[in-house]
Amino acid sequence: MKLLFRSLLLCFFISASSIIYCAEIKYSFKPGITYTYKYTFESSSSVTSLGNVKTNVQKPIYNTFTIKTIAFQDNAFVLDIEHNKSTYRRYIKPNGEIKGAVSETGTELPVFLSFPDTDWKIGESHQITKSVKIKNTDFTTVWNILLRSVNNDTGLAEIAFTATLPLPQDQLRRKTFSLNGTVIFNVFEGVVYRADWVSKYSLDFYNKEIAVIRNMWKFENELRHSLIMENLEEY
Amino acid sequence: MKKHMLVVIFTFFASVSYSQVMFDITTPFKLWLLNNEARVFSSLNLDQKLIWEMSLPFSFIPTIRTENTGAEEELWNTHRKYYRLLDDIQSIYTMTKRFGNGRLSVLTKQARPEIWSVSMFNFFMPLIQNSTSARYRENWHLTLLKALRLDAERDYNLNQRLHNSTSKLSSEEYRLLKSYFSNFSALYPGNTKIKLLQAFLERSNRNSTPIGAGIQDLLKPTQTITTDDVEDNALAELEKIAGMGESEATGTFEDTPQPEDDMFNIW
Repeated sequence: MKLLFRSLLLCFFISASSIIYCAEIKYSFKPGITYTYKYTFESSSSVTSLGNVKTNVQKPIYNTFTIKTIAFQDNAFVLDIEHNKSTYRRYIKPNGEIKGAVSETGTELPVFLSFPDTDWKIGESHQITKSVKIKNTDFTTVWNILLRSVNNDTGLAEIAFTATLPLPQDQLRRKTFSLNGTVIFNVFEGVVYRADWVSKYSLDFYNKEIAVIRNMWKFENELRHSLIMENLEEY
Repeated sequence: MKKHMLVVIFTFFASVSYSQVMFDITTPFKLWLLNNEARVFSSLNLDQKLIWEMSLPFSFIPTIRTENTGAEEELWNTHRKYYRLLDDIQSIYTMTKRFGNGRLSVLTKQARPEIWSVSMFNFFMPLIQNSTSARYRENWHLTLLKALRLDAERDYNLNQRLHNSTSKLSSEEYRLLKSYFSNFSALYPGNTKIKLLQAFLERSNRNSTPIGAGIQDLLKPTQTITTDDVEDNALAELEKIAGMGESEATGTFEDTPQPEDDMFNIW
């Protein structure tokens, strides 16, 4: 009986040690290391016009880019990102926020997701609000991120994220937008190992008669993005 | 003399443009479709910019801009075919309304410019008329057709021309255009021109009474002169189907419903 109890206790400690209940998710690019990523983009769309449907599925587009870590200074990683024979220098904070992008001054940078600065419990979600300015109008984007699991053996954390965007609409133009994705973050290495995200957009365009509104066109677009680390080596 | 020439030229071009406006049956539909397209272009453009802002959520990914050509491009291509077809229908209708009764053909035959242009030389060179008249008449006729923007080969069989234009549409595109016409009719029931357009479109698939029979004699004139008006039964039938009254058939457009008060306000 005593032996059984000890065995059970040992099993409990072994299993508990492989599961972490909270983790600190932050980037930790190592100076002198080059990270190679493969980014894949797929797009499919359809338009329905008074019952007539046209679809378009584009072939996947593959891109490879590398990240060279130059240094860590003033609480930011200095990264040289090489893509298509061009190099962009970016300064990125450990939580993923961008601190600077000197070589991209004047170009519009997308909205970037950032991780919470504190310890993150499994099952806990965070909300991040960011603003986008287009044609002198501010649009507020809301990101929700959830830490699903962390594996103690592999150090891989699974993070789910969603985003909402209030697209301008009226009585004749109704729109929906959704973005969902998953990130596999390597906690030991402090880098994203894999990420997949999908955005779905639809626009319903109506014609208005005196009292009746008729659907004329429906546009739908799905964009699938995939990112995977292919290599990690010293340069 | 120069002033008189200017007046003649101005009057000629004004009459050509006026006839195009008078017999206009396609503009309200085209404006409606173009306006809808403009509204959608505006929305898609802004939305795509916003969606791009959300497309690369990690700061270590370079700004990769990918060409994203959607299914809407195919729709715009189909619409381009519609605009070309509508232009053809408009051209056939205007031509039929202007020359379909055969009066101009009779007038040109009666005018005989090849005779009066050389009549002053008849006394000195009596054979000149015989040697020059055929070429004079031919050139004069060709110039007249050019001035009237007519093409003897293209316009001789207007039914065939209409059929050639509509056969560029696939069966799906044809059905969609008919649905657009129905939608437009439901939105603007007072617009009878759309019914005429519908009738033209449906007629293109049938071998029936030729449209614009009176034009054929103008394009390839015969020697006989008939002073009676040629009845264009086919056009009359189409206008009857469209329920067009005399004022509409002659092109009074005062009561044409406008799709919107402000056509170019797309927001």
